[in-house]
Parts: sequence; structure tokens; C-alpha cells
Amino acid sequence: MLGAAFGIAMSFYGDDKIASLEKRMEQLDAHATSATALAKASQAEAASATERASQLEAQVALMQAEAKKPKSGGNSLTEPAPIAAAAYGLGRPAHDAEIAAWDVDVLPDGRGLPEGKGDVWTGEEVFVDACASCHGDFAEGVDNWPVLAGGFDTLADEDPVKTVGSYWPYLSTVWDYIHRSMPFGLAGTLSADETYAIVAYILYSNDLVDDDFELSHENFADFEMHNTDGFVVDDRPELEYSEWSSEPCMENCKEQVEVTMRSVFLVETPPEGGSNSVMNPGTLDEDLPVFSAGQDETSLSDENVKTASSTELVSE
Amino acid sequence: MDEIFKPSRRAFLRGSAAVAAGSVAGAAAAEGPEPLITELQDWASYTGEGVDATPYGMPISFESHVVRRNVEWLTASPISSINFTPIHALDGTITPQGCAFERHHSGAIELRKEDYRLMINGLVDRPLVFTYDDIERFPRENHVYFCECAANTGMEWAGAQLNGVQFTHGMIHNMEYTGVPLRTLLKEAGADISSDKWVYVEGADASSNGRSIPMEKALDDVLVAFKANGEALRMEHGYPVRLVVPGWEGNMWVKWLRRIEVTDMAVESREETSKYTDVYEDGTARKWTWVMDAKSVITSPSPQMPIKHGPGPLVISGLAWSGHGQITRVDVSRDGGITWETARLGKQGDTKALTRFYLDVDWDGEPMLLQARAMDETGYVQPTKDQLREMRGENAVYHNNCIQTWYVNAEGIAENVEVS
Repeated sequence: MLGAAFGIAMSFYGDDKIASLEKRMEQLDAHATSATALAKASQAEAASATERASQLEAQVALMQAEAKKPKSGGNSLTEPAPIAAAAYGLGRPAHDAEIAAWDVDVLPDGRGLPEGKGDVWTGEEVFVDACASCHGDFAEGVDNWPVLAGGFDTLADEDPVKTVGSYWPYLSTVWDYIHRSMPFGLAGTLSADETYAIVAYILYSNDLVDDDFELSHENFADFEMHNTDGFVVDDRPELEYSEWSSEPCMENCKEQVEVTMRSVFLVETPPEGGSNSVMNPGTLDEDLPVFSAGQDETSLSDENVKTASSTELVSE
Repeated sequence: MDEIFKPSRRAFLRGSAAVAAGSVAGAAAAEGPEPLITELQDWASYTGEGVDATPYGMPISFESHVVRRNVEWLTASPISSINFTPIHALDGTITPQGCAFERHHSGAIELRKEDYRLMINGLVDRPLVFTYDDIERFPRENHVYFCECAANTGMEWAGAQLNGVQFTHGMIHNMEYTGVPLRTLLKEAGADISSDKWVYVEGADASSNGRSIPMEKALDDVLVAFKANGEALRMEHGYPVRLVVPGWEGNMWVKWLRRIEVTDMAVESREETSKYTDVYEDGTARKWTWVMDAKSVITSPSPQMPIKHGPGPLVISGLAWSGHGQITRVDVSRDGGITWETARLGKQGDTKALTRFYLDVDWDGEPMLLQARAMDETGYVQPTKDQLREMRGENAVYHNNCIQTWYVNAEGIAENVEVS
């Protein structure tokens, strides 16, 4: 709304300037005409005035064109960075070995997987050595570190347990993440075979495979994850945007308002930094305000700032 | 400073003391001349520090409480964690880099410009490697954008949790970026830019955080940025080069950007499947929820910014933003949503950037239930907590853009609450 007002103001400014230029042009025109008619001015003077008038005419045309340009962002003089028709010729060709070193991501259909294999028992050994300090021997998670196993059929619960087994939609993601980003603090050190083995062990700890299971690049694509179909692509535009785009209520929007919940934690912010959370001793039993509609309709105007006079403190 | 955030008895006393002190100061004229004025002060007599005492200036010591803060128990380790911008204490819209929130998955790394390489590969005619110096030779642009973590306000799905706007809404910052449009680099490599293609971006740190961006967005306003607020990016924000993905969740703004790969499908990386997907009441989840919807919050008064001056003129101030474009209007309620007044915008909202709003009132000292409600250029109206919960349940974790309520009591102390 303010943006529109700003845009209008801008074009008013442009119009004003155009109007004043046009007026100036008329004056010059009149001057030129009278000069000619009375034959008192020299030919040169008349020519110069005509020339000036046509210069101004061109200027007006320019300004009118400028005023017609969209004012998006209010930055009508800015331009996006240009892109050359041909390449700039910057950078150098990437070597195959460089691409091989960095382009190691794995796609959901298995593209990007290197050859290799690993079984559950090997996986357990590697997992206990490299992963268990955070994720637990059975992938159950230590402290706040992620739980990797279990949680099936909890996604609709009050506290869903989102594990590799219960939640992750693609096995490629598990392999890719472990291979590139794990173990925490030693990323990128696991071999392909070790990674296959760890993934096999995580599937085993989720009861998704038997203990004689071996995972390899050959049987990888056959494996279907539990929650592959559990996702929908962002549907906010259909479900929410139309719902929440009507002119909002400004007055008497509710009958009555009261506090239904108070902050669970109070947060202390010590001078040395960080924070300390402590339980809030405050309860809903204390004196808390209740606001009601229609007690003082005019109370929120600038003239009458006693707005909260519509407030009443309810004592118990 | 810290005690006043606690509406405990001690805090109440302190709050009252502050109010009383305010009254004393206000009444000083009646009681007599102030020594601050009538007596010669040290700073008006002795000389101060010379130039270069601090070659790179820091905020004055009196402002040392205005810092990023973490909440330790939220995460397993500070190496893979988040902290919060002190938005309660800032004004205007630009976030200074030094107090802009951090989110790392494997810690902030030191990567020299000399060691920086950016690769473009995949569905391109010319797989290329750029040095930092190469990046600075492409035509560049300047834009102010907000960066909000998708988990900002995520705690509040379960109700009012943390008492402070820094902690409920501080996973956000807003900077002026200088960078090269991603489309320029894609063109340089001869990328296949057909609309069904994707751009996968990843960082050079140990987490190798990677996200898939649809080609339409990649060609639109994404920047490969190397400056913020005029100076080099801070280490914790991805020095020397990070991605800027305007209006979209912060996790996609890959730091220490090392690789751009054009692909024919989304990679479905860990950060776009197991995380940054929103679980709904029936157990299904939304994925690819990239855009940050319109949102606003009152930063002062707020739990960390109690009213200390007592009744009289009061500036209610806050921030609004939308990943869909410009903020067009912010309404403020002082009675928990019964009545709304349209606030004044500090300046015209930039697209996908923080907008400051003000409501200047004469406070009568009665309690208030303060709320702000943003609208953006699409006509979208920021929803209430109830509307969000009805639509999504309470387990979505991400994308909580609800209307926030602060209860301000007669002493001016504010608390995070929910209302009927």
C-alpha cells in the first residue's frame, strides 16, 4: 500500500517536472513566435530559441519515457548486472580428476554410487568404531545426537521419532551423507566399502534387513525405504495462501482475549554471553488481563490514547 | 541488565526501581539542577582515545550485552548448532555482521581466498573452476535480503517456550550483499538451463551441506556473494563466498560455496529430506518448502526490552519480512487481537528484506497484549498460531510464521504468552 503511494508520489514528481518543462517550452515558443512576427529579433536569436525548444522537447520525451518505466523496487535507475552475449572467458576448465574428487553426490536413482559392497557384520564393527560414540551401539542415539533406528509408526504421534528407518525417503541420501559428511569431525575418510557396510548395519538396526544382508552398488536400487511415499511437494500455495489472503479484521475481531499459556522458560542473559534457561514460576492463576471487545470503540484513535482503558485486570 | 528479563519478584522490584528512577530523572527539573550538567565531567575535561586505538572498531563497552547468544540445550554440540541475533536491541533494518546469527553443521571454517575454488559441473558445456579473483571480475549487483532459518520460531509450535524475542525470532539477519548473479556463472559454463533442471550447491566445510535449487529460482535472483554490508563476509557466514537465495530458507544459503552442479533431478540430500521437511498431524510431510512466508514481530517492548519509563510516550517497534516480496502493511494490536492499528513503516519495504515498523503511542500504564501482523505484496496476511496449528498440527518444526504475543504488565515487564 505504501509502496503504491510511493510509486504514485514518484510519478507525480515526474509529472510536475514535465509540466514545468512544458511550460518553459511554451514560453520559449511564444518568445520565438513573437520575435518572428515582430521581426525585431535577429534571425540567430530566433533560431537559438527554436533550437532550445526542440532540446527541451527531446528532454520531455525522455522524461516521459522514464516515467513510464515500471517503478518496481523504487530503484528505476538501477539495472541488473549485464550478461555478455558470449562467455567472459573467466575461470579454467575443470580437470576430470578434480570433478571426480568433488562430484561425489548420489542421486535417488543411485547414479553417482561407486562400485563396492559391505555386509551387516562388517558394518557393525565400523559403526561401533566410527559412529557409536554419538549414535549409540544400536543406532539409538546418545544425548541430543540423532537417533538412527526405530520410530516406525510414530510420525503422526505428538513426538514423532524421525529416523533413517521411519522417516528418510531415499537410501541414496543415507549413503551420500555418511560418505561425505560423517563421521562428525573426520568427514570424508570412509571408504566406499565401509560406507556400504555402515548403511547395511543401519538398515539392520531398523529391522529392515536380516543379519546376513550385504549391500552393494548392484542391489542398492532394489531397496525401498519405508517412508518413500510419505512426502508431498509444498502445497502451501493451494491450501494456505488463498485461505490467508483476505482483508484482515481491524475492529472487534474477537469477543474476549485472555492469556492461555505463559512462557515455559525464562531466559537469563549473563554478561559473559550465552544464556541460562530457568522454569518460569509464573502461572495462569496470577492476575492477568482480560480484554473485551466493544467496551470503548473509539479508544484506539490517536486522539484518545487511553486505549487500554478497555482493559480490566481480573483479580482472583 | 540480565535480571530484568525475569518477571520474578526480584525482577519486578528491579523493574519498579527502573520505573521509579525514570520518574526521578523526569522530575529532576523540579528538584534542582543536575550535577551531570552543572559540574565539570571528566569526559569534558580530559582527552579521549586517539585515532587507531582500535584499528577495527567494536561497539562501546556499554553495549557489550548486545551479542549473539545460544541456548545450549537445544543442540548436542556448539559445532553443529545455532545462535540468535539480538534483534531486541537493534533498530533500523541492517544487521551488523558481528551480531548476525550463526548456524553451522560442522563448525565455521577458515578458508583463505587463495585456497578458495568454485567448480561448476554437471549438465554444462564447459565444466569450470573459478578462483576468488575470477568471481570478482564478473559484473556484480547489490541487494539487501533477509536470511531466516526455517526453524526460526520453531520452538513455539508447542506453545510459548523461550522468554525473549532474541530466542523466539532471532534466527534471522538482514544484510546488503554484493555478489554475482548465479545465472551469470551458469551461462559462463554453458549450462543446460531448461526449466526441468536443478542446480545442486554444496559447501567446502566438513558438513558439505548441499541443497537442490530449481532452475527457475537459480536464474531469478540467486547471488554468489562475497561481501556483506560492504565488507568481506565473516568466517561464520561463509567467507570468502556464500550463496544468497533471497526469500528462501537459510539452509539453502550455502556457505563456503565450493560447487555448483547442474542436474536433471533434485539430489534429495540429507538437508532436504530428513531435515527441513515439515511433518504434519497425520504423519505425512511437506518437502521443498523453500519460501519463507510473511512474518512480523514486535522487538520492543518485548521480554528483553521492558518499558522502563512508565506511562507516557512509548515507541512500539518491530520487524516484518516476506520471502514473497515487499511488506506492504503491518498492523499492531495492543489488546490481543481485538483491535488493530496500522503501523508506520520506517521506510518503504525492500523486496525480501526486513522492514522496520513503528507505532507511537501514549501508554497509560495499563497491561497490554501486544501483537503484530504483516501483509505482503501478494495480499498474504500473517496467520495466527491457531490458524497455523489447524492447518499443520504442532510437529512441523519449520516455517512457523505465527503472530507472536507479548504480555506487558503494568510495570512494563513483557512476557511471551499465548492468548485465546
